[in-house]
Amino acid sequence: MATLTAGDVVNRIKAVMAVQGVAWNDATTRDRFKFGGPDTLVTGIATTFMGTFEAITRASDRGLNMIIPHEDTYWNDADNTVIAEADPLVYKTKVDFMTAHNIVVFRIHDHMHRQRPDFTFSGTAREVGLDPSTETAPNSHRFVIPETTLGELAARVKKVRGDDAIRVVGDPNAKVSRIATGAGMATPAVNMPDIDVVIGGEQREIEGTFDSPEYVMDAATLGVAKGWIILGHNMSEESGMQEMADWLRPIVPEVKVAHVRAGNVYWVPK
Amino acid sequence: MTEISRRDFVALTAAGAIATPFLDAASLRSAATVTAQEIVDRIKKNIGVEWGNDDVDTFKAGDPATIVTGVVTTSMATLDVLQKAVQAGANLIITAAPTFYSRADLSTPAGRGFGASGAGRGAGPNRGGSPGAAPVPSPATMSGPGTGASAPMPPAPVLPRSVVPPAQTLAAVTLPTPPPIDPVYAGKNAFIEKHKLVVFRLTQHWNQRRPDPRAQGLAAAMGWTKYKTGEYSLGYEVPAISLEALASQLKKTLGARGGIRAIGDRTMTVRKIGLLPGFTMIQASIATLPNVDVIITGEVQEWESATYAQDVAFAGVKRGFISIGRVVNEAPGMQVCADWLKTIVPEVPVRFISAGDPYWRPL
Repeated sequence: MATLTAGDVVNRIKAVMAVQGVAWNDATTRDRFKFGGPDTLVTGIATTFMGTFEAITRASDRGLNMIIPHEDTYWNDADNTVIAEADPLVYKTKVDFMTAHNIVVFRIHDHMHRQRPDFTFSGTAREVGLDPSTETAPNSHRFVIPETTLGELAARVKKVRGDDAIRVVGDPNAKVSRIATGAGMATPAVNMPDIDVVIGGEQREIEGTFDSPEYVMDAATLGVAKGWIILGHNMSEESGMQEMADWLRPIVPEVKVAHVRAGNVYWVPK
Repeated sequence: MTEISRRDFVALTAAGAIATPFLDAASLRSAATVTAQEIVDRIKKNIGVEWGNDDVDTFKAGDPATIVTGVVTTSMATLDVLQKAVQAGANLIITAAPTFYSRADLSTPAGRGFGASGAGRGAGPNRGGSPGAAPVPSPATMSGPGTGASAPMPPAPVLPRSVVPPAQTLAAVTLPTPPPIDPVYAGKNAFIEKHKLVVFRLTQHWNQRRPDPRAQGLAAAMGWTKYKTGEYSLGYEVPAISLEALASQLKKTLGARGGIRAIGDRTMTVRKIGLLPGFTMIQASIATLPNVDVIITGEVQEWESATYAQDVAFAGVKRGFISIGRVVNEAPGMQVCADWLKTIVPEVPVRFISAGDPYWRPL
C-alpha cells in the first residue's frame, strides 16, 4: 500500500482549494500543523470541530491519526503552547498521548470559511433542522419558515440538536418566521429590520460591537418580535466538519476519513 | 437587596443633618436636593480608585443637572429595569452593562440614520434641554466628545438633526429622510425622555475596587463570606458539595435561568472555589483552575477556557468550571454598589433592581 504523509494530505488540500477558487494564504497563523509535521505517516483522517483531548482520543481509538480540527488545540486561537503549559499536568497528558499515538494535527479554519458554501454555515443550518438549499439566496444564511413562536422554534431546534445547553433570549410568544443563521462567532446582529430571529454559535453577552441579548430583552418589553437562539460555538460549527470530511474523502482515497465529534461542552444544572 | 424604607430614608437624612450641625436652614434645604452630576462627583471622589478619563463610565442618557428623586443600581439598564425604576420613584439609574446595546453605547443605531454614529454619544435625542433649545454642552464634556469609538464631530448639516430632541411620541421621531427607525432604540429613548431619566454607567472603576464587589456580593449571597481564603474575596473553601449541587445552588440563589452552564464531572466534590468575575481570558483560567476545585466565572470564549475545562475533565482531573453569565455575574456587584451609594447619597433612596438572566432554555 502506498504511503501517505500528512504533508501529502495538506498539499492536496491546498491544490484542490486553489482549483475551487480559494488560493492558499501562507501567512495564516491558524491553518498550520499544530502537532506532528508533514512527514508523519497518515493511517486515517478525522475532521472535528476542535482539537479537544476527547476528539483526538476518539479518533486515535478508531485508527485515525491525522486530526483536522476547525478550531485550536491548545486552548487559545493562536495555539500558543506557552499559554497551555501553564497547566503542566493537563498539557503534558495531552501531548504525551499525541506523541504515543503518532498524532498529527493540521487546523483548517480560515480557508474553510472562504470556501463556498462555507460548510460551517450549511452545517449550522442542517444542525437546527433547516435545509441549506432553502436559503433565501445562495450563501445569504437567511431562511423564511412558516410563522411560529420563538418558543416553538427554540424547542424544535433543541430537539433536532439534542443538546441541553442551548440559550434563548426573547419573548417565547413572539411570532417569528425570518431567520438569519451564524456560525461560531460570526453570529449576526439581531437588529436587522428584516430579521426576526438569529440562530448563532457564540457572541459576547455584553460589550460587543452589538449586544444582541439586551436588544432582544428590550424588544420583548416593547412588543417587537425578536429572538436570539445561541447554540454554542461547538454546536454551531461541529456539523460543518461532517461536510469537510465528505469534501476530503475523494482527494485522499488511500485512507479512511471520518468526522469525529469534539464532545459536548456544557451541561446545565437543574 | 431591600428597597430603602421611608424610615431608613428619614434616619439617613437625620444622620446627615447631625453630621453637619452648623449648616443654616437654607443650606439644609439645598442639601436635601442632589443632582445626578453631584452624585457622580461623589462617586468619583469616594470610590477609592483613580478616576480615568475613559468613555465607558460616563452618562449615557439624560441631563446630569437633573434633580435626583431616587437612585437605582442594576446589572443592565434594560427597558424593564427602567420601568421598574420609574415605578419605584427613581430617576437616576446606575448600570454595569451598556444601555444602548454595545460597548460604544450610542443612543442611536450606528450607521443607520441619525447622521454620524458619534453624534449619539454626546448629543443623542434623549439629552437634556427642551425641544428647540440649544443643546446642553455639559453632557458631551462628561462623556468625552470625540473619544473612543466616536467619529469626529459630524458636519454642520448633520448635527442639528441628531441634537434637536425629537417630539415625545414615537411617530414624531420619524426623520424626513427615509432610513428605517429602529423601534427598539426609539422606544427606549422615548421612555427615557418621557420620564426624564438619567443613566450613568459605572463598571470599569467599580470593578477595580478591592475586594472585587462582584465576588464579594456573590459570596455574600451564597453565604460564603465566612469561608473566604484568598485575596480580594476571590477564593473560598466551603463545606464539601458536589459540582452539580453547587451549580444548582448558584442557579437558585442568583436567579439564573438558562445562562448558567457547567463543565466537569457532576459528581466530583468541590471544596475550593475560585471566583473569576466578569469576562475571563484563558490565562486567568489556567492560572486559577489547577489550584482550586472549581472556577466560577461570568463569561469566557468557548474556544479558550471552556475547551480547556473540557480537556481537564477528559484527562480525568477532578476540576469543574461554571459560567453563570455576564449580566447575572454583575448583579451582586451592583447590589454591593447600592449599599455603598447609600452611605454617600443620604438625600434620596437607593436600591438595586435586578435585570434577571437574559437567557432561558427551551423545554
